[in-house]
Amino acid sequence: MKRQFKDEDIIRFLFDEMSQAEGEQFLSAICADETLWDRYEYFQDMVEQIPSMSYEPSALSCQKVLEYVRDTAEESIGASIADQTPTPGPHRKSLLDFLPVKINPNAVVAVALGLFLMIGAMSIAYKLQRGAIDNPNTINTAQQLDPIELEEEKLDWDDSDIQKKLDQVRNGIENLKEGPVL
Amino acid sequence: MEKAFFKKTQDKDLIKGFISGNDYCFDELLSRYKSKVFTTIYLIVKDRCIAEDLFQDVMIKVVRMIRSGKYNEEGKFLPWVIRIARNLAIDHFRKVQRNPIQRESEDYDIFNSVQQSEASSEEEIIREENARYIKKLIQQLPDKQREVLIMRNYADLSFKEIAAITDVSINTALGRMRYALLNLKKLAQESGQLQGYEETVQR
Repeated sequence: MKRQFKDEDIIRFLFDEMSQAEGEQFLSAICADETLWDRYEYFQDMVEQIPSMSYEPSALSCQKVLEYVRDTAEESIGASIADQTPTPGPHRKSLLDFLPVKINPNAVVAVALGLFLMIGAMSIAYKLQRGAIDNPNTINTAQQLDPIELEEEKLDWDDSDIQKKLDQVRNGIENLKEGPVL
Repeated sequence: MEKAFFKKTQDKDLIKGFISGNDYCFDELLSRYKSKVFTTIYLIVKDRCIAEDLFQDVMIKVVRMIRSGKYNEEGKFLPWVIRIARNLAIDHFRKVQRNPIQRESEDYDIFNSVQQSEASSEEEIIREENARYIKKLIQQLPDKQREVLIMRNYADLSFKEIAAITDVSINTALGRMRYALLNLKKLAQESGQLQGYEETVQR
């Protein structure tokens, strides 16, 4: 069935608000229908006569709006979020802005983090070392492998049981030095 | 951030950026739409000073509404701003009706402020004369018809968007546009001032 196009359809076509398929259908319709063609030209003529106009607000009006945006930024909810992730800008001065050389804030954070981790690691290592000296029960692996050194250290403790064991170890070593009896 | 970056950013992303505290996003939105918003307001109220005041009111209201999370029309920023502009313009007319003030600028023709470029040929002079004349005729249209014509031609809104802003169906918006064009033609024929126009009308 052939579609009947109205004035409103012509306006939609003139303002480019028809789908491609509908537009093609419309074009074939105006080619076949002289009355529709006349109506189309009638509206087209008027639409083309409408002049283009563009007015700009004054610079002062725009400036006042932007001033309002800046002045009320801290009061807004958005600003509170912004404070958590600050964006550097001309109105947001930080200590880095006063340095003679431009430094990437991310690099500063990375270096600080690295230093913090290094100091932490050194502190733990120091504490472990101190703990090994202060606590006689802590015996490191190297000491376990060297019974002679262990013996020398433990001589100071004045522990008779350990002393006996050390004697046994010493005797064992002496026996080993003499070699196995075949 | 580079200004070029903002130029390529979509409205919805600029709004998100503005909500999260980046004021430059609003700068871009303002520079993107200030002309369309102001032209629409100006053509509705027909007074430069009132248009300037209303423009500021509209943009400040836009800022407040975005910040308070009342903007939820993603991807349709301009129609939303034009709706606010239209409502504030209507409020303005209501106030004026309640408290009529005799303004000095009442006789001021808004189209006098349109800068005339130096016409180089007779054809150009005629075209400029016709354009100025049509602009005057647009101001004589009934409010609802003029409103649709302004929003479609100068704010670049679709008939669907205009229908949503003015709370009417698309067919009503299209019907108003149809009457606006018919009335413009009628007014032009009555005055007969449009040069080089009679031939096309009489066909």
